[in-house]
Amino acid sequence: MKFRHNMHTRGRSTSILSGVAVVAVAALTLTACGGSSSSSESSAAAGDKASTAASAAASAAASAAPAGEVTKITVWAQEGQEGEVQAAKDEVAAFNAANPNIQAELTLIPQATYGQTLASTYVDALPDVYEFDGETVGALVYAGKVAPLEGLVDQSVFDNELPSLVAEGTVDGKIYSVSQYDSGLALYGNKAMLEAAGITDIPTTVDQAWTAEEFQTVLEKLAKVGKDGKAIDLKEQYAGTWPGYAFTPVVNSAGFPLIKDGKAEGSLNSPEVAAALSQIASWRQYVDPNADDKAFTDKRVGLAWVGHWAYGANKEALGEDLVVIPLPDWGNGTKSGQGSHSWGIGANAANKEAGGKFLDFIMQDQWVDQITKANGAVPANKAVLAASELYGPGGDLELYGQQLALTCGSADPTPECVTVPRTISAAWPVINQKFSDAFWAIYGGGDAQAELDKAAKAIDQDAADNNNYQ
Amino acid sequence: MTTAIAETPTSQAAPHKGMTLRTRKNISNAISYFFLCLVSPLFLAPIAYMIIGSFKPSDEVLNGLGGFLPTNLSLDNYSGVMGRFDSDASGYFWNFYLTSLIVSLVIVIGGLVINSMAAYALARLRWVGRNLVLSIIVLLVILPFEAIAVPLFYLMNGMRNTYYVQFLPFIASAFSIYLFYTFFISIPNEIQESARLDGAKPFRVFISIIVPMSKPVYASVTILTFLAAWSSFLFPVMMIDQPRVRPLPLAIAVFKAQPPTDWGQIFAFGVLLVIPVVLVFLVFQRWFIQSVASSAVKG
Amino acid sequence: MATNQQVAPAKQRFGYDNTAGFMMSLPALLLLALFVLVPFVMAFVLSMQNVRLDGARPNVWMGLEQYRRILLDPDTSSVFYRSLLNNFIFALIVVPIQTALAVGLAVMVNQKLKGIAIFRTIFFLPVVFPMALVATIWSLIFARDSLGMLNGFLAAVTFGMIGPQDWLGDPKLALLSIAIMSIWAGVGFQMIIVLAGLQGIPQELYEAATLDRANPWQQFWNVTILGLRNTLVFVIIVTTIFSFRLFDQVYIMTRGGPGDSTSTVMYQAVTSAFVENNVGRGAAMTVVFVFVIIAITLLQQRIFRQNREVQ
Repeated sequence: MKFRHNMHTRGRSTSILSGVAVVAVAALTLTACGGSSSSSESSAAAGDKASTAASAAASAAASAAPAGEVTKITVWAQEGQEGEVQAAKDEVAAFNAANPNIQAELTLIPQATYGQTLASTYVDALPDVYEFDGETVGALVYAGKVAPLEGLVDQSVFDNELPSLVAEGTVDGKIYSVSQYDSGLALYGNKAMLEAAGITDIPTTVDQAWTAEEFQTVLEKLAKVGKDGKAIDLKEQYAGTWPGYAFTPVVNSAGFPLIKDGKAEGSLNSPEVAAALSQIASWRQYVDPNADDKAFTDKRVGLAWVGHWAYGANKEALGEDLVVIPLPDWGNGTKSGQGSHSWGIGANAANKEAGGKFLDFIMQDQWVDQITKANGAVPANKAVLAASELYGPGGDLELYGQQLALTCGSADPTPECVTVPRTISAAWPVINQKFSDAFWAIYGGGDAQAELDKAAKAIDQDAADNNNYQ
Repeated sequence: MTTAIAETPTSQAAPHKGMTLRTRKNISNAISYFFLCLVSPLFLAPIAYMIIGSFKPSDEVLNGLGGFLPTNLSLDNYSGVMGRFDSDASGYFWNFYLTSLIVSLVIVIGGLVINSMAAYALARLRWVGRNLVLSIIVLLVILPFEAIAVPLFYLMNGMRNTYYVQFLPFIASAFSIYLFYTFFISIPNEIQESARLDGAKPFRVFISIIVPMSKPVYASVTILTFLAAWSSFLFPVMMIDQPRVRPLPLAIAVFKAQPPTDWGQIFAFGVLLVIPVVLVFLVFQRWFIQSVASSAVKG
Repeated sequence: MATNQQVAPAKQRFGYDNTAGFMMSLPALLLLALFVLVPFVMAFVLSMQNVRLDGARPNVWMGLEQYRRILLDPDTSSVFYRSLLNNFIFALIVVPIQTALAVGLAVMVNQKLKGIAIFRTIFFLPVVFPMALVATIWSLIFARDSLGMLNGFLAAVTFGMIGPQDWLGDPKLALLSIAIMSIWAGVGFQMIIVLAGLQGIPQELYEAATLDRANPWQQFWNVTILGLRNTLVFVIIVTTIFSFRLFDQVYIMTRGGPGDSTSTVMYQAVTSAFVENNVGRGAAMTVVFVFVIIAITLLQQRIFRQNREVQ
């Protein structure tokens, strides 16, 4: 397959004027992959072409490259948010310019189907370097699709990273992923609307978080000033597995992890969790369905339960009225989510070292800074975070940094810690699906205890079928 | 229904004897048009909604009946769709189109040939095992593709990122055979028998007699097969990761990535997606409906 | 099966055409065997194992355990039965309404009126829209507050008497909403088939009925519907099969929710395999599903055959 693939790459590259040098790269990889002995002739020919073209090539990279030593790596990234896509393209271009001996070829795959594509790609067909949802790292390790990064990626990369991300990327003591950014989850508030509703004690730090009862009162008051008696936007239009990210903190705040000692029974379905989720379901009357995604920015509601990505639009709409508020506390302290897109190296990748170099490159402060400026996410590198106007001390989104510094890691959530990595378990896809199904059923009026029992049983059964993912 | 009945020749049963045939005809026509015009908007509204929305800013699409108002029209959504696909990394819009077109055409053309031949053999030839095969075909009609997607994925994994993997499994279709079969079986047997008596071989009869008189079924199978091929999604998700062989329906997933959903661009993509299918339909609908009567389809 | 009764009367004055029969059906049968039949048999085998889509671990033999869970275990079977029930409800809504509408529309567009071809095209047009696109458009039409188009429309025509409904979010409405959309999308296809049937009814039958002084209603039942009998049997069987295959709409519009109120068997099978990585369970559901459909199809044929005998 590799052989065929490279043939195509070569054909296309010649027709498009991205440079003859690429031909050489492709042709040489042909040899490197050992796909075919007959390729040596063509690669030599292409190499000649490349060296004659080299002087003319605008790219310094191509000209500096001794044709014989160029390693080609394939890189997959998610094609979603435009800023992230552009950043990925820029990073690859810059990396290729800076590393004449390694040429990265980027393939973008639509985000909506990215996870399915990864699941249905066997390890040998995976690229050298690829992006994935951070929460799936456990499943990828279990499937043998990612390689441990220590030794491939420079130690300084891990040292610079936020502890939350190192925790997320660590499975059984080994680090399998790095991330350029983390996510922040909290409430956005409209100060003017809150004050109009008579709410003045607006919490801004984790230790000031409203209790669930206080929050209930806030919603009731706020509903009186909101449009059509609505008070809050829970982003219910995100649907799908949004609860796995947004409402797992409620479970944690009620005092439980989703699974404890590998079992959901007794943790996910404890009465405290059922009560907390029932309470959220009871707020449905105050929730704007938000199909147009403008409930908060149009000031129809005064609160929005959403991640960092909404900041740009919210700030533009509300200006100085925008406040960031920790999620309510169900008894075990406020809890929040963490984790975003991560990067790893294919377990059977042909060029793991080169892949490691690529990750070293994109984890530099400069690139972390650029991509987080583009997508508004929490910078993964401590230095970038500290220097950030938004996330640094005094910034609008300082709360996120504060929350992520207090990561619970892989331990069960205590009252002191705040962000909980989504279960770093090979079973995450199942847990995510079952919890989300249960959440929507409860939100739609189903019996909380019964739905959670059902979810817990399904999660545990799946674990048992798979030898507890050992 | 009442309109239709009024329209059939019912001169004696009709109640208003005083009216001339012509007047009654006019009234019944008026009633027919009234009903047709009443129902048509229900069929057109969602389509109009999409087309209008594709020219509007995304945040004005979802606005109750206001979604129909042609305000702030522009081509921005279309240029936005094209602009998203502008490099080797993300692929090119025209290339997605080309891929879908190649794959769909192979499926349609290949399918018309082999499925109609098989259906003819099943409907009009006697051969050992025919009844068994027929039963199996009917069983396969029942099978949704989703049911066999995973095993098929295991079978065809060696063909990742090719055109083959996108068309090979879909050329032969039990449903198409079934449609052809029900049509062929309704053609009076005498027609082919007389040709056979003249010494024509079965294949000859099929090509020169059956095919020419079966335009309606070929047209409807063409439309349905093209539509199915053109919207193929689940299998490409599993089998295609490279943009150069990515079909259109996979590309649309880009716009559903992260909220806020860009409805305007999705609708623009939708319009571009649907144009070829509508064209195929408009070209073939002539045969599709016309000549159905003459070809002796028995109810 | 579905067609044997039609085969039987075909008079064959010629002997066996084994060579021609084999050769003409060979290409299609070969491809069907390879790409449909073999995978289906594989699905049987997979249904008895624990199989992970991502190929993380070797498959583990589970025997009939997947079936026991789907069908017998009270905790895990409830979702499956609920999904199957939804399939039945959906079919019970869609099949009669869609068939009746198809007959109505076909009768309307069968008239010789000026411009009738335009109306035929209009009614068929939704059929040529990919379901994924249709479902996306309709999820906006069904949006739950006053911004939803359907809510806006209802408010306008009833002068606000009908308030905004949560079409896809209310467990009582969600399946009905999907059914309405599916009828919109699919009725044109049935209409065309019925239209072909209508045009095959000899005009003399209507003339004879007129001579017998049959009133329009009698004429409709005794000539039109009777003449359409075989067409309608075909339409009903095919619509039933497609109703049971319901997947795309659910996947795009509701993801089976709220609760399991719009979950279908195919939706459960696909999410088991693709989301939860559990290929074995998905395959087992598929196998059960196929047997259910076979049973329904056989039952329908029996009913229709009896009716015919009565007449």
